[in-house]
Amino acid sequence: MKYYFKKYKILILIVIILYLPLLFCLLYPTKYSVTAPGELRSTAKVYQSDEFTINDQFYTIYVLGYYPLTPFQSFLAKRNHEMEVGIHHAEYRDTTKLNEFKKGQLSKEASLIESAIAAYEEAGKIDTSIQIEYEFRGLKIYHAPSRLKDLEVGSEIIGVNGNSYLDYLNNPSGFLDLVKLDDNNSIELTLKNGKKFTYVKQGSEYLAFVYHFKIIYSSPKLVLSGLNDLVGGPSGGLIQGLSLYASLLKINTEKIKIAGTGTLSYAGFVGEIGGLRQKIYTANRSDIDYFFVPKSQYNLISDISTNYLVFQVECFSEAVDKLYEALKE
Amino acid sequence: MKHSKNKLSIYKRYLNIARRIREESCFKSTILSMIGAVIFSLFLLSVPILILVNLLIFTKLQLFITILLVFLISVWPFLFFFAYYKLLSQYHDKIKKMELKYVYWSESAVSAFILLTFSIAVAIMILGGI
Repeated sequence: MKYYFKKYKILILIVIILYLPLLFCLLYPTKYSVTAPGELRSTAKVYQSDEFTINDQFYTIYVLGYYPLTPFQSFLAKRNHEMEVGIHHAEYRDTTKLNEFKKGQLSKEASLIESAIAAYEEAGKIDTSIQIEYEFRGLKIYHAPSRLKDLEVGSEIIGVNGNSYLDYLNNPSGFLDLVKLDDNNSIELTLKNGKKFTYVKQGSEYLAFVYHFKIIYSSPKLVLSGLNDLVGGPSGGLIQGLSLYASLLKINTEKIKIAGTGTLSYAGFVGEIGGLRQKIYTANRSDIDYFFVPKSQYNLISDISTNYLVFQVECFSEAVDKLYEALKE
Repeated sequence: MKHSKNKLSIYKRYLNIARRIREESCFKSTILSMIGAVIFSLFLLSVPILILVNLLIFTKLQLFITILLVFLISVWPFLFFFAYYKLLSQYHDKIKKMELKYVYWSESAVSAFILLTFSIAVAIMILGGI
């Protein structure tokens, strides 16, 4: 080794001097994050059943959310109009990659269950043999500041401020429901194991929850096969629900290709999602015919020209009406 | 019959050269050559690999980038063994005079095949989202 070091000393030095800044650009983690266009995913594998066929004409869209960017990635992403680069705020950085993954899986699980409830109930209005029974079992921690060791992603909460978790059921205002804090900026949480925990808010940190539902019985029987893949997040709720609705009622959608985004609560409320512009850019690359978006977010994408028809919806029944409208055209 | 005899003779030649290398080399020179070979091969490959990993934010290119990554990972043993035998022959004159191409190609090819299989499996798992 010494022989080569001596022979090529100058060359090795020059290469190292050039190499170090290059490594810095390719490895150093900046405080920036990116939201980039992703891919379409068929909803056909999300639900499975032996008793009916899942419609394969519906597509959800996932976008790439990545943190931390390297200086090289940041340079490239800032020059690409389809990507959104921003500073990743401290409260969002207060988590690990593993917890990010768990959060994606947890919200996906909740989304699959709530979409199934909404779809079965809507389809049950037309065909009374379609039935679902479910139970609300409490709240699950979606996000908690890392300083709170007792609260992990997925920890079950059965009481808030001395009230039963059932008091939080009739508030279908969105997927992630923030529980209101008292005047002292605190809340008391009762964990499933009976342990009580008082959370006092510090700075801009936050607590977020997802509903914990359990499907007791469904007719026809349904399997949540989407729980087994790595892609997480709740933004496919609306389209998963529509796909299930069309499958349950055996609606023929062969002539059209439908995509969309938006969360769906058990009560049929369509909620907002992140990265909507990137989802529209992703959809523009494919040959879809109709795209569903949450009405409250349409203003974010109204300036982007699309080669498909965009439906703005607030609730699941409205989305179903738009689906029939699309089939008539 | 003749073909299988040739194959056998190549294998025997490989075993013979590998045994002679073991006899001629010592622990210190082997370790130093390995360290040098790791540094050399990683030095050459880390920049292209890191550039490709950085480009994974472009989801449209993910399949193409993954194929390139799998290719680069499979190339690594060839660079490593090239540097390893070059360095080892610097320490031992007798090894320098040996026909090293048999051991170089066979060891590189076997290692590359193992890495290729492993990296294809990982790539399919990641791209398939399973």
